[in-house]
Parts: sequence; structure tokens; C-alpha cells
Amino acid sequence: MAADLELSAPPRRGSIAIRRPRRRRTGMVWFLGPAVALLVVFSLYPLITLIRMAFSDVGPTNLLSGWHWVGFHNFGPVLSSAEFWGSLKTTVYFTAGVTVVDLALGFVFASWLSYRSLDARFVQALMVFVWALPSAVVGNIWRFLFADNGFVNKLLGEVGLGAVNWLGSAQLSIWTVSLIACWASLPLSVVLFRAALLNIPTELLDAAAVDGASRWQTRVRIVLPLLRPTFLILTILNMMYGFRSFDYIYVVTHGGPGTTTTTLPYLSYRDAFIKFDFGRGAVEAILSMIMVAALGLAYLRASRKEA
Amino acid sequence: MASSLATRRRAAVSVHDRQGVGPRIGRVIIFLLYGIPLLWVLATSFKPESAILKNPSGLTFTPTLAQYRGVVGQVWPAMLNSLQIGIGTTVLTLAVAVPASYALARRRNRVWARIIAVTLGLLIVLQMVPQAMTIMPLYSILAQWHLTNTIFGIVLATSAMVLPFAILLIRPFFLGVPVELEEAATMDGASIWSVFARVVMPLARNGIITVAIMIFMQSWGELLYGTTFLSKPDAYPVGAMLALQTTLYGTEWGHLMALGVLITLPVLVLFIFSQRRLMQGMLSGAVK
Repeated sequence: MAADLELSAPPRRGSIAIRRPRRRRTGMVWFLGPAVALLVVFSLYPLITLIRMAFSDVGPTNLLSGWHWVGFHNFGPVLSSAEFWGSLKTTVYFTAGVTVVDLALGFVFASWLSYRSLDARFVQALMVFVWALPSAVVGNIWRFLFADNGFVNKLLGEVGLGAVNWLGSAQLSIWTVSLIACWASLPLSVVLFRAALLNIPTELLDAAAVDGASRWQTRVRIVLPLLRPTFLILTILNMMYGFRSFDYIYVVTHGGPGTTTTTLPYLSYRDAFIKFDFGRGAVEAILSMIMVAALGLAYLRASRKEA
Repeated sequence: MASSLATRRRAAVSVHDRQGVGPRIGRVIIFLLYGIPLLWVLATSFKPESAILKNPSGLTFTPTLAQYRGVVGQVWPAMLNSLQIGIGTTVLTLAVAVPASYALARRRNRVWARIIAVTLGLLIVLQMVPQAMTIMPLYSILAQWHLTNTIFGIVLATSAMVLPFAILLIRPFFLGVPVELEEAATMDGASIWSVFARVVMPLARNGIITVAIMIFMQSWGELLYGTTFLSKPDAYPVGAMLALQTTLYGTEWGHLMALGVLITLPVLVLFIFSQRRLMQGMLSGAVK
């Protein structure tokens, strides 16, 4: 690290060289300044305000000024409420669904797509296009397809199965929303897996083939271990994605039926913006952010190890 | 040596080109999973509402543009709002992110190296903060500055949201520009700004364009800021407008699907021109 810095420092040669670094440094401040200003005002300050809010007594009457510091007073009711723990459980289910499906199908789909044929390229392009769709569009597409008399139930009827109450059932709805989130996020996993698969040196697979390994053996013994870093990074990325998920729940179920699809971000949003209990919403936001941050730390470690 | 080359060639054939039926069938499955829902939505948007009411999954109907005629008056203002938000966010974000990425890619001295380390850490932390979490304090800031109910307020909030992503994605492109090139230009008497604008920035063009496209796509469909910071539905961008339909006319499917198709069209056009870049952006955005 130190040696690296020494190397990149400008060489000192004569009086011009002494003046140059200083001029450059001030120049760099102007390059970086606007970005830092924007972030401090619209990202960092709101974050700090959120933390203050969690430790204050804030309601609709004193939202703009006059907050009383109440310490951990807001945390008690949240931590002792069944709703918080229920929505933590919902979030974990949702996240687990997204992570497992994205990893498993991501790997399988990527193996199907890691060929240089025209149809492989077309199918991958189709997936990337879906990834780029606005979440409100994706949410409404699936609300339509999962409707009681919608396309999915019609297909089930065609093969002789009964209709399923995809979004109205208390047990099923969270998995349905999780499936919708999978559909939209799977393309990212596939693109990452596919790149990793194409990065495997052909010599390696060749050597295995020469030694008489079957396709299946090669896949399990050689390919999977080589993809370990990709699996690791995607696990954490998907878990963070799951813990942050808000859009599909907002568009598709509004947290219902009841509170069965109310994940932590949605709970925090609802308590603050619909129930106007800002302190409570802030506490819930902070608690779930701590969980995201823990995952984020794990992600940083994993990606550093890989690089 | 010669024999190893020969086997290598054979391996390349067996791995990449000679495929069994498995992958082919697999790709058909993926197409069914991703193509059919989109085609279904497209078909429904050309279906008369009466036919949808009778049977939402019916396949026989006379195609009509009635749905599109019905939504065009409503979707047009929303698309104009979203276009302003999309362009505004892309321009503002790039205007601050590109110079910042460059500054963060050049360790001039010890102090600056520290500043870089701290800023990068801050960016990573801020990138992890879920959008729904800071919406309350953000709302009160915008309210104090009388920026709620304005497109500019949304642009500011969205830009701040995508800025860490933009910087972290553009910075590697500047890291790849050799410092010698800049030094040569400086020797010739160019100022730091003209070195940046004339020498360095053109070399990072690929990264900048990729990020621009991704930011535009994201801000075009942005949902939460639109619904929260704007109180008049006629000022809504497309994401918020579509989410509002959900609560008001939940069952007018044809109407909803026609809206969805129209909102998607600009994304499709952009996608057609930038598919490869988008894929690169996905890769570098995730692995940094």
C-alpha cells in the first residue's frame, strides 16, 4: 500500500515540479466536490436524520421541528411487537426464495446459454430485456398472469389441475411475490454465471474429457468448484436484494393479504407514511439496514477475495 | 506441443459448439418462461375489454386499438414527466459522477489517497442503504426547499440514489487510462481541465455511455420517489402512474397492459441499441 503510494506520487524535479502537485490537488477538489455535496445533502444527511429519528419522539405534529431525544425508547415497542418479528420472518422467506431459485436456476440456465449459437444469444437478450423492465411493469404483468382467472390458472386447468389463489392466499402469497422477484432478477445471475462459465479454460475441461470424465462428472467435480466465487457473490447480492425489496410488494400485494407479504422495508414505509409513526418506522428501517449492512460487509469481503 | 494443440482444438469444439439436445430444450424452456408472458401481455393489450371481462385468458378475439386509444391521453403526460426525469437524472448524475470518478482514480499524494479511501468507503455504504429507508428524511429536506411536487426534486433525489453506482462503475475506466498520457499533455501546457476533457474523458467513453444508459433506464421506471414526493397524480412519472392504476382500476386488465406496453417501448428502443453495453454494465456493476 505504502510503496504503491510512493510510486504514484509525482517526481520532484526543480521548482516547477514542486508547484505542480499543489495545483493539481486543488484541481481534484473541484472534480470531486459536486458529487460529495450532492451525496452529503441527499444521501448522508437523510441517513443521519433517520438515525436521529429512531432515537426521537416524532409524530405528524412535530415532523419538521422540535424532536425530543428519547434514547432507545422507540426500540422497545418494535422489538416486542409480533408484527416486527412476523415481517422479519416474511423477509427471510422472501429472501431465501429469491436466493435459492436465482442460484439454482441461474446456474442451470447459464449452462444452457453458454454456447455461441444464435438462439442462445437471442434467449439471453430476452432475459436481459426483462431485467431492464421497470418494476411497476413487471409487477403488473404478473398480477395479471397470477389473477384468479388468469393465464397461469388457465394453464393449470388445461393439464387438469385446479385453480390456485396465488396472490390472495395467506400461505402462498409471499412465495408468489418471491417468484415474481426471481423472474425479474434471474437474468443478472444468468449473465454472471455465463461469464464465469465461459471463463473456464477449455484445456481444463479437455483434460477431464481425455481422462474419461463424463459430462456430468466434469460439471460437478470441475465446473462447480471453479464457480465458487460466483456462487458466493451472487448469494450475498441476492440476499441484499431480498432484504431491500420494496417495489414488487408495493405494486403487487401492498403487503397483504393481511400482513402476510409485509417485508421489513415495506413495514417501515407503511408505519411511517401510512400510520405516521415516524419513530417506529425509523427504528424498523435501521434494524433492517443493520442486517443489509452485515450482508454488505460479507459481500465486500467475498468480492475482495475473488479479485 | 502439436498434439496438445490438436486436443485443445477438439476440446473447444466439444465444449462450445457440439451440444446435445439438453441445452436446446433448456433454451426453449427459458423462452417459454420469459417470452410467453411478454407475448401474452402484448396480445391482451390488443383485446377488447368486453372479451377480457368474459374470459381473461381467451385466445380468440378481434384485435383492436381501443385500449391504446383509451390510455394515450393518460400515458402521454406521464411519459413526458418520465422523459424529463430520465434525461435530467442522467445529465446531472454524469455531470458530477464523471469528474468525481476521475478524481477518485488518481492518487496524487498521501492526503489525496486518504480522501479517495474514505470517499470510496462512503460510496459503498450509501449504495447499500435501501431506497425506502431514507425516504422520510429526504421528503422533509425537499419540503423545506420547496422541491416536493417538482420534477427537479425527483431528479435530485434519484441522482443522489444512483450516484454511488455510477461512480463505482465509471472509475475503473479512468484507472485504465495511463497516467503517462496525461503527463505528456500537461508538459505540452494543457490545463488540468483540458487534460480531463480532451485526453482522459474520450478514453473512458465506453464506461460513461454504459452508465448513462443504465441510469436512464432506472430513472425512467422509478417508482417510490414519484409516488411519495409528488402529490398530484397528473404530475406522476410512468412508474408511479402505473402503480396507482393498481389501486384504482385493478381489474381493467386491457387498459393496464396497454399502459405497460407503451411505457416499455422506450426501454425496448434503448435496449435494442445497447444490449451489449447493458450486459457489460450488469457484469461490472456486480463484481466491481
